[in-house]
Amino acid sequence: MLCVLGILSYRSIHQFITSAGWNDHSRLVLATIAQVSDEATKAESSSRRYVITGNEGDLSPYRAAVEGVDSKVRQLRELTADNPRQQQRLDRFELQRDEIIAVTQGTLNLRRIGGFEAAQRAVLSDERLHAMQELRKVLAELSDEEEQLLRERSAAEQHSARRAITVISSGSALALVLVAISGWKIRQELAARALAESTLRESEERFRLLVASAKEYAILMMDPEGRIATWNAGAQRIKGYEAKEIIGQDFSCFYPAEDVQRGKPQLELARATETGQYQEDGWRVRKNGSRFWASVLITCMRDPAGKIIGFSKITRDLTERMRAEEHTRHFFTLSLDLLCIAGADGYFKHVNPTWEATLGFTEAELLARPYLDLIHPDDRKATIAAAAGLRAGNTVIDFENRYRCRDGSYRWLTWKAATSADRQLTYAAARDITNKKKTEEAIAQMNLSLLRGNAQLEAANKELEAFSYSVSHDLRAPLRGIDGFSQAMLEDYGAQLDETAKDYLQRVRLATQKMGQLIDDMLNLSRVTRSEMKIERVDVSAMAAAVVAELQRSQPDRHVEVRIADGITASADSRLLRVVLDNLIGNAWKFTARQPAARIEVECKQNGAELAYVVRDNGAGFDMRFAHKLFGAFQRLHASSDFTGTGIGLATVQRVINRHGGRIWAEAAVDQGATFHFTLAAFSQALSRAA
Amino acid sequence: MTNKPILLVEDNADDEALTRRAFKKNNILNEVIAARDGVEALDYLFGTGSSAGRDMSVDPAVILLDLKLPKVDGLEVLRQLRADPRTRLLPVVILTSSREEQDLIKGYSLGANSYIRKPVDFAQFMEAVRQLGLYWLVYNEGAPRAA
Repeated sequence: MLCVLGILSYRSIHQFITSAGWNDHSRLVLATIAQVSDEATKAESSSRRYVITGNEGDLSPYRAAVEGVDSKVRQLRELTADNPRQQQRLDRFELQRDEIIAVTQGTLNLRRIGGFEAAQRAVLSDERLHAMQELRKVLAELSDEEEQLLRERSAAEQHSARRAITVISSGSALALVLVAISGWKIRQELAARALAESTLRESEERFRLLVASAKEYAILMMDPEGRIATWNAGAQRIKGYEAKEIIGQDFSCFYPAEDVQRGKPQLELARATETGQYQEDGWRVRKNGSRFWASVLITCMRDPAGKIIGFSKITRDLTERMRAEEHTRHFFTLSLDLLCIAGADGYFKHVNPTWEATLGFTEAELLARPYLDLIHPDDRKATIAAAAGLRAGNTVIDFENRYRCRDGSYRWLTWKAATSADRQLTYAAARDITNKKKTEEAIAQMNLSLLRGNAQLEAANKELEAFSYSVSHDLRAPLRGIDGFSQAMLEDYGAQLDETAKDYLQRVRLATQKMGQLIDDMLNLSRVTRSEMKIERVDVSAMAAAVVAELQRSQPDRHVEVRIADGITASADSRLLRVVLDNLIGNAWKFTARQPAARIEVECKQNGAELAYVVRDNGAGFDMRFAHKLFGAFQRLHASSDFTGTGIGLATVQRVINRHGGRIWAEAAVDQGATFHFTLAAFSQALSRAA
Repeated sequence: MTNKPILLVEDNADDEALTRRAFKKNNILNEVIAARDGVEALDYLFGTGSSAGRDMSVDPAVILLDLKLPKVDGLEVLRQLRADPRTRLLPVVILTSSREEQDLIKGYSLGANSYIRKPVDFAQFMEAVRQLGLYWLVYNEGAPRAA
């Protein structure tokens, strides 16, 4: 600034000096013109004096004047050499001058020869007067021009002077201001520098603390050869070394052996040196030999001259993140369900391979079109509504729609979906339930036909009921008549009948009673099949005892040793179980009739996972060859003459056991007794055995 | 022993004959009025139809009611006579061949006083009729006659 001011002042002053010089010059030119004019006037007047006097002596002033004019004109020429217009005027002046000199010479010669009279006329001639006028005119022009120049130059001089004064005075003022500003600036600069130094110290301290305490990042410095120079808490945490054991060591100890062998650590330093930085994610090794997935940044550090002073190295342990990503990736790939991520723009962003497996479209094909294109037209509205609801914050669970396959068929999918926190992405899992749907349809179909079947079965049952009703009512009535009138005949007309007739009538009565028993047993058989079951806890021991007591009452003379285990229970329909015990114990009672030491045992024992109930006797038994006939209706293994019976009892028992989901089987030998086992499998879990 | 008649509602003539004989054998000499179907029984009880004009001052001591009857069945007869104030309190014994559980339940819920199954065996039948007569005609104190 000051320099500029100096230059400006110098230039102003120089201009002022230059313009002043020019003014002096103009004044000199004007003075010279005036002298030319004087000399010319002198030459005129001296020439005239000669004409008047004719005195030769008067010619010398004339000649001197002419010479004076010449010398002054030469001077003028030099002075106005830079002005072509003045030079032209001087040319014209010299032309006129020469003409006047020539005319004057002629006049002077005339005086000498012709005398005063002739010369006087010549002097006063128009020609001469005109030449003189011209000469004076040229001089006037010369003078005018120079005066004009002088005026201009004076003005320029004054301007320069004023400018110089302005420049110099304002420059000085500015200089003062500048000095003041500079002083203030310098003071400020000094203060700021002091502050900056303390701030720098503080910030360095803070930075050092930051680095030292950073636990998530291993931050360390290395010398140019790759030896550890500094170590922080993060480095210790991640890599496992303490500062004192690692400082000075080569940083290649952080690399897996195979990487060290390939010279990877040195390669990384070389890359960092080349490009300033080296960054990679890769496996590194902790002190204890375990590996971790690291994100590494190596930066080459140089001094201002460009010389390498070392490297900084920042390492993060990304193992968990890498694992998390790996988990996500694996689950995404392995999932048997269709997983996808969709954007708010209506396109899939990611789909897992199950999509291709299910629909046949490649991943690229699925991502290339709005997913709505793939949805069954009838399901689009609902899908759009579900997606809108999802963006509004609802969850989607058990939403179902159909997606088109490559072959044009559709698959039913059921969905669960949620959105990202910003609601821009939708995460969704779908399951192909096409087969389930088909199965459901088939089941519905089957149910329908089952219902129809059931209705038919019910109708058949109704019919059977009606049949049983009429059997029980209508078949018995005639029998009662036959028996009743036979009895009436015996009672009222017995005296008139001989023994044979009486015997016949007795046989008629026995036969009708037998038929009545048959009808009752058949009704029982059909009732155990039809009646509704009510499963409850049954005290089997007590029930068996009641059956035995009833038998004993009906045949008080029989002497049978009965052993019933205590605390046998069952989960069963008690009425039906009573039918079973009536028959089994009744049979045992019947078939031990000829056994002098008759014995009946009722117990229960574990048979594998099942509980088996056992009724054992030491009676007539049967031949195991006919065991298969044992449970058939109307099958008898004994002659009625030996043991009475209709052959329906065991068939009824088997039906009851079947209805309880159990099994019944028997072991026997002729005259060695029979043992009947049965289970109530479906309900055996509910059984409890007392000691 | 009351001398009121016994109303036997029975469509089977054999059963009717046997029942009559059983009463007689057991010295039950009350008049036995037989109705062959449900309509006849209701006519007798309410003095309508074939029984129009009968002496309505005498009620049966007991009604022996078979269930399986032509025209109107026994359960319907029972329902109607229990619904009428005149017959609401008459003793009704269901005497039937049916051993169907449903019939038993329906019979009792409609207000039968007893349910006896006719045995095939005549001796048993005789015994049943004897006890029946004893109970209803000798021991049972009938309800006062309804208005």
